[in-house]
Amino acid sequence: MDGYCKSKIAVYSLLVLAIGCLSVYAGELNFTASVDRTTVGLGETFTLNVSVSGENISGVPSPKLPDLPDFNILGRSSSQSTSISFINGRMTQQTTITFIYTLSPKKLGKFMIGPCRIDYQGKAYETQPIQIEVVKGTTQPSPPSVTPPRATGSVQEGVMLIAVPGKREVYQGEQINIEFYLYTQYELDDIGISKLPSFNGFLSEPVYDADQLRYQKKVHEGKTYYAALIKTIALFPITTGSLTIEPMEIVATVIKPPKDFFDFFGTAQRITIASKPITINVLPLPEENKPENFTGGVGRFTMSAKIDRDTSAQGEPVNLIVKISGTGNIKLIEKPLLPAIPNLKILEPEVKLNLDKSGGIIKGTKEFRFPLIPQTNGEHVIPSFTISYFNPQTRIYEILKAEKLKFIATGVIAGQVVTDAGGIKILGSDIRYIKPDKLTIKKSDSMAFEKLSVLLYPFSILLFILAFLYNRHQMRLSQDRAYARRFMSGRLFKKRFQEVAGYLKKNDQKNFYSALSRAIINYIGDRYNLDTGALTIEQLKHELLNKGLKSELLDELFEIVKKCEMIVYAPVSQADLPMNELFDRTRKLMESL
Amino acid sequence: MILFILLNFAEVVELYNMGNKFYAEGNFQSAIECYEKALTYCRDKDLYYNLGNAYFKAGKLGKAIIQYRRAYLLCPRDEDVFYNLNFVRSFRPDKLTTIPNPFVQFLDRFFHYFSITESALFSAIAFFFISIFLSLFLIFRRKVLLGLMILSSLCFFYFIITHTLWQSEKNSNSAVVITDELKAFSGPGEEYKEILVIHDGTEARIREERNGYYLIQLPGGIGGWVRTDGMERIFE
Repeated sequence: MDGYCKSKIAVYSLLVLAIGCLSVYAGELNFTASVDRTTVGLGETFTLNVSVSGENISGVPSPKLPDLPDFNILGRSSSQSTSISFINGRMTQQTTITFIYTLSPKKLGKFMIGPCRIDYQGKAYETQPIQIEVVKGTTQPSPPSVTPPRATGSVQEGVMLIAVPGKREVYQGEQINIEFYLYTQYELDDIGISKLPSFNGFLSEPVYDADQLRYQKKVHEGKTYYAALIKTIALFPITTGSLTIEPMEIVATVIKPPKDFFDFFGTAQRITIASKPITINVLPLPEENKPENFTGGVGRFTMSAKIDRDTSAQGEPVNLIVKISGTGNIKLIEKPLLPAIPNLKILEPEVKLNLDKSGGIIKGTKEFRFPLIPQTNGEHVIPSFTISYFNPQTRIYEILKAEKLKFIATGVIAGQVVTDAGGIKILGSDIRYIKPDKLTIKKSDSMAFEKLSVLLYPFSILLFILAFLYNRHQMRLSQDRAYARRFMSGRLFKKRFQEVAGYLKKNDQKNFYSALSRAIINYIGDRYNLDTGALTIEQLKHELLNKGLKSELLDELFEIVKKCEMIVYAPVSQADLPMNELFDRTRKLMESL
Repeated sequence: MILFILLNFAEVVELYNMGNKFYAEGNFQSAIECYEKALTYCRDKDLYYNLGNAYFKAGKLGKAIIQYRRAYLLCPRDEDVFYNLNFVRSFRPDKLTTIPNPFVQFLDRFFHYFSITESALFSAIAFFFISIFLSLFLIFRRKVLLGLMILSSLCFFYFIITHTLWQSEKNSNSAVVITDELKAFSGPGEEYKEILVIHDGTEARIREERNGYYLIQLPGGIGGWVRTDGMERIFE
């Protein structure tokens, strides 16, 4: 990573250095002046372009114009363009600054625009002088205009609108100009086009619109007319067969001279004049020898292809610029079909169109800018490719060829997502949208929730303690005999005592006494883990005293036991104590034990 | 202020929906006012989220980040909140050079799957289950119960770690720069040496507060004293 960064920095610094060197040694300037036309009508404007081009000329001053006493300077502007190209691995940066002056002549005659001067880096440059001829009217070469006379009689047949096609038979896509001429025998005023044909089946491009009519005398069908061109439209047929150009209509006012003394100003009549429909036969392009790379161009074209840079870092796109220029149906030319290039993604091109309609012939340049996205590092070669167009003059398909181009890509990350030309296009990113409207909002009572959950902890701990105690108890029951006997003593005594209670109810004296004494002795044995069968009463009493029991309590208890045994073993008919009393005393004693 | 307290539920919902309407019209300032008013009454993650969006659209990165982080605390599983938080963060002028470690990122997401309230509740429930299974094991001595107990203790540890992380985040005194540019000084006052300039949306921790200045610390460890009005705490 680090090494890569370093090498990139090195490359950049080399580049900067190279540019710096170039600027130091760039001495030569190209300094030219030109005008858009050399013949100018009085009252018209023309432009003077003074351009300075050279390598790295950012600091160039504005040129000094010569004295122009015969012209008015109406405006000035400038434009700058830079092109960077690599030739044999050397980068040249060509900058052109064009200073544009709009001039208009002051008087008729031939004038000289003297040399423009520029001082740059201690050197003076001068341009060639230019001669300008200023003529009367417009510069369109036309004989002087004549004015038709005023109408006398009927006017309708004296005025015509004639559509003149340049050709009657053309190829599909070939340019054909239609000129609309107004033929009149009278003076017309207030002329306007009221209906333009729709030119179905054609691509139309207006070429000339008369802003001032220039009449010339012409003889048509034996009559003399004053004819003037109103409109010229360039058409490019897009379908084949017999196509009809619908009539165009114009409205005009005919001025009649006054008939007599009282008709002082004469009369004006509004008329509508329509041209006749004309039919053009459109021939289809020959299918024979039609190349696959035909892109629809009909006319005469040239092609150039270049790439805007020689290297691409981090997968940046390199633009392949294909320029097709020439005369013909430039508007209808489709993008050239590029061959599929491995490891290079070709996106849809950006198209720029530049049209020039001067002289009635459509000229122009169509620029296709294809972004190329490298998918792998290394050298990418755009192979030589061709396009073809149809030349209607020679009636054959001609082929244009672009040279092989190459560039080097670095820093392409493998698997980088590149949007496909026809597929998903990611135009940008934004935060996700807000949540929708609601009917209710829950008041968040998280605090109550938390408090409630906290209560679970002591509860859980309590549960565990209980389980632990239970577990210990169970362990002692199984391991500690004394503990087990003591644990069971109460329950057993209760059982035996219930038995005793049963005998009491039945008044079974003998069983009552024996059961009572057994219950007490067994209880004591269980409770204090003593082997009651092996011990006498005195021994038992002694043991119990050792365990810390109170002697009075024991005395009373053993007294009951003794009494019971006496009655059981020596059957005295009547005991000194009734069974009831003995039973109650035993119960009280046991409760306090 | 009293007016807001007197708001009832219906009015909060109305404010929220009104904010949405303003947002849709592109009137983000009014949307912000509506959402803010609604938030004085109840904390709701959608309210925070929409407010964050409105702040971002109004060009306030820091304020937006604060709202998203509050929404994230309430509901970390909301993908929109997470997405927008990261999206807005990418617009910050201050790019901090922290290398994202994928393992740390995974752990961060793993332990932020449940929200602070959920993790509190679930850890208590998991603890309860531990005690139940342990008790049952002590009584019945079944190995299955021991397994269940171990399982619930794993859950408990997961939830308690999640909760602890949230708590520490809440108590970390995180704050965000809410002015376009904020100067940090070597001491609490303008007269000290200027040592840093930070920008809108930068997140930092407040270490100390003294006479109208916060001592802040940036993730890289650097820091300084900044005016308190230039920063806002995420969790009050």
